[in-house]
Amino acid sequence: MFLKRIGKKLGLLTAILLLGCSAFAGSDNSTDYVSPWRDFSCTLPKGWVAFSEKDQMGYVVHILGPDDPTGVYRTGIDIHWFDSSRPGFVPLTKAVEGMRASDSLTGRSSTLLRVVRGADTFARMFEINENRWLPSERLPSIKKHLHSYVAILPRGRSYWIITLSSTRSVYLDYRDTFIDFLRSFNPMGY
Amino acid sequence: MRRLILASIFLWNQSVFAALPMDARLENPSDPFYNVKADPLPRPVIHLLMDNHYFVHSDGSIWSPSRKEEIRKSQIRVLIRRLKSTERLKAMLKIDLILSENPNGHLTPDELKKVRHILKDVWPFFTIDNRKHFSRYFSREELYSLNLTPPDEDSDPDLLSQAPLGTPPPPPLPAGFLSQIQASPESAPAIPLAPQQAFAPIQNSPLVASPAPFLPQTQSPALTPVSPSNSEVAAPPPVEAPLVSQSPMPAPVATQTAAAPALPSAPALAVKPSPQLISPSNALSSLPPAAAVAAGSGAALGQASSLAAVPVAAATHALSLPASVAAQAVSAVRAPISSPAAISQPLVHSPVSTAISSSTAKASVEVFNSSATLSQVTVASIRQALASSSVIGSREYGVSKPKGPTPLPPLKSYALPPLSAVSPADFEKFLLSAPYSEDPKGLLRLINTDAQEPFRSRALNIVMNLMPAIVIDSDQMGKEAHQKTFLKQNSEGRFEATVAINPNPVLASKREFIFEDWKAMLPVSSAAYQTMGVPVPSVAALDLSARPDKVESGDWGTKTQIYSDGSERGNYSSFEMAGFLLHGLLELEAQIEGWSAFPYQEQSYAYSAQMLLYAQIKDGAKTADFLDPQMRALFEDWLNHPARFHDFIIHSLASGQNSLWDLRHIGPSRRDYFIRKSYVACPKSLGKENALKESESIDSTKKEAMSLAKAHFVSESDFERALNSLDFRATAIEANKKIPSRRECINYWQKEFMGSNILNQLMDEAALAEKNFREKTGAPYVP
Repeated sequence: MFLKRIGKKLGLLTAILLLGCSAFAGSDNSTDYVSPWRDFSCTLPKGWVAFSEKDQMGYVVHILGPDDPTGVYRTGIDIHWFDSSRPGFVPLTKAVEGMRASDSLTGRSSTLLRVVRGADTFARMFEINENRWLPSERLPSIKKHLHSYVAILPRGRSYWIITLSSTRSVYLDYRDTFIDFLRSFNPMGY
Repeated sequence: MRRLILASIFLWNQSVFAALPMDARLENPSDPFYNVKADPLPRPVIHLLMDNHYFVHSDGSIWSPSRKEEIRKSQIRVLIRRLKSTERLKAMLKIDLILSENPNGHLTPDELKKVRHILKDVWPFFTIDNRKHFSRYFSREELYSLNLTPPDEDSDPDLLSQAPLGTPPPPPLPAGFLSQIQASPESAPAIPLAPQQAFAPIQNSPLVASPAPFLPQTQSPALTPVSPSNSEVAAPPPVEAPLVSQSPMPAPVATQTAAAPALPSAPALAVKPSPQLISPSNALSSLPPAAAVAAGSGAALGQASSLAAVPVAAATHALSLPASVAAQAVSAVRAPISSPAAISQPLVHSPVSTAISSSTAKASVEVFNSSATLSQVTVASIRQALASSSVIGSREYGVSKPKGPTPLPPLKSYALPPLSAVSPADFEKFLLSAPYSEDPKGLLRLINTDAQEPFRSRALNIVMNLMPAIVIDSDQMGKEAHQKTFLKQNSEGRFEATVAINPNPVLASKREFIFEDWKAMLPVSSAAYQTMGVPVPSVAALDLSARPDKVESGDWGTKTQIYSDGSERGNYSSFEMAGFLLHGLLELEAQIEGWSAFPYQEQSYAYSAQMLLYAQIKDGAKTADFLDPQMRALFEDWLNHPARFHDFIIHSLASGQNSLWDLRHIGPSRRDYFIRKSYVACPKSLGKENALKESESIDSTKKEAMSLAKAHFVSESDFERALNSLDFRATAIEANKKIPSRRECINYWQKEFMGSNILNQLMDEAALAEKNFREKTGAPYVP
């Protein structure tokens, strides 16, 4: 009887230990994301949700994060793939120019370009500030400052554009998130 | 139960077997690293590695998911074998899930499409047995192209003998091949094959000769040439990678034992008999005796105990399965065996259960063989689980009698009805006699002349068939900025619709000390403030009795009224309001057709129509000054930076105030799964849905009130009072909530399913219209 009870306890202990080990081993990849086109993988920030859709230039992956405190804009990362073989493709230099161009309508302005190290490559990065009426289809709509971190990762003539946008009131909270995300971004294949 | 067993096998396979041998073997320095460039792998295998987070570097090396270990030559065979086995199990689980979700057992065209899609993805990793079982889902010519990839053979001495990347494609179907088949379906024609292809044995096997008995009635078993572009499985979209643990996985479908589907009839040419009863002992014959299992493999991995220790989260992650299913799987294996009596119950032979009972069970044996410590208890539990899986089988094939309430009617697939084009002359003729005043008629004329197809015809059809009231009045707008739609069905079942258009935006600004200037666009309707529980802000432009200081032309209209406190009452141009009306009419159509339940798609579609209309007007006017600054910024983004425009719309719609983004609706498969799950859970599911919507609406209103308070349009104390009144309202709603009837619930989910069916078609339609416009104008796609 005693041995049986001890045996049960030992079994339970073993199960708990193994469960713990397995959970620990599995936690490494728990937030990995592979694009449906299998051309990059990345690590999603905890609690963020990803989905993808096709667009004219290839595809886009949206990763949605937390809402703004006043609920007018959801912070998120957008990954756009610009395929050089598609009609309407704009070369990288011109694309960067277009993105950084100022706009009087929205008060758009950008910071200087700098280079940051990604997982497997170097990325060009800059920041954009602009004003938008938010929400755009509901009232009351307030003119808000939006902020975007933008990184461009070239691959041959094609490139990815990765943007983390949020309201300006919270943008500093996501600087590290964006850098960590870029470091986890792995172009795949050969 | 079968699903539970499979899931548990998968869990074990995924989390334990993956981790153990790899690192140990990496320590051997004499073993060279594997290089894909030196020894090419077939493309499906490369994709398989990538799907499982292995990293294929540009120099040809393969790295483990952690990116810390490089894969060696000696490991690649075991690794690929394991991944393939996992892939097979995963596919069978998915198919089983689809079959078991179906309340009446008949596969709808959508479900059939899904099953075929899953099968097509996993086909390269199927063994001959698997292929035989599932060949019925494909026509002969599809099988021909599918079987060009040799079947997976675990016993294949040279795993890498398959055609590598870069191998020239197999020869095309010889001319007249299809006609030969049609002429004599029983005799397989001799096809010249490349010597290296392992295709010949498959060609001779019964799987090619068997027709497709499970194809729906609309799809004739007789072969007809299908062009790849028309075939529903010809070009499957890339499979969305699992969202891993980031997104909450939906709960499993409640098993509906009441629904007893009819047995699918076998076609005359079927080689295989229709589903038959087999004894569990036959089904388990491929399982080795416990003693043999115990002594079977020398690889003492100790997985018997670790099987029970596999984390549920890992299972849901890897399988994309509901957490509770995985949990059941684990608990099923953990559970002690109560009685072996179930083994004597008959097991129904179904397409999936057949495959599971033979080939998948074989896979399970393969997995369990490697455990020297596997006890008889575990084997017995598998036997019991397989035996009890007959419950699932009988439900699918109508062996058991229906019990409980009346079975739900099947969710019907729905296709967008063909669009009837409205000619400009016809519509003009209609307008002459239509009971609209001059202003709405002017807006409708603009839509008639400048809107792009197919949006134009869709909107005008709504006008001609439904004759909605068109009201141009800011007071009717509530909290909507540009257009608001009302739709109700009268006692005769006819729709009565109204589209309200906002002609006058009201703008005000407040300064916070000397630092920040808050600019806001405010609702005019007092009902909007009542809803928020706050008083109407003391803004002169909102006071109808106040007189403006001056009227001048500005950004917000040619006759902008400016008041003493600096607030403004602008006016939208008729061109801009025509866009609002078009947007509103398409929203009406979405409400009627059921796709308003998916606001992102609904708004994207309506925005495409609206922006294309503005582009056409701009083309004539040579300027976009007819738009207010807010809409002009959106339009310029749409025109010159479409990617930026779509990102902005998504982040904006997904915010709490809009609460228009439902995370349960991300992706077609998730959306369908959610609807089906809710449908079978009627009427409770609608009660929950209504409660959720009420709660979201209250939260959204609180945030709107907070926005006004932060911008100093209402005081802090007013805001506090608003929060209290909203909380009180939430409590009252909770207290008075009623459970909807089953009929209401069924209608609700059927309508949502109907909308879900046509979403892709609508989005393709909008994308094509935009693409044509950009190609015509030659606009570059600047990010």
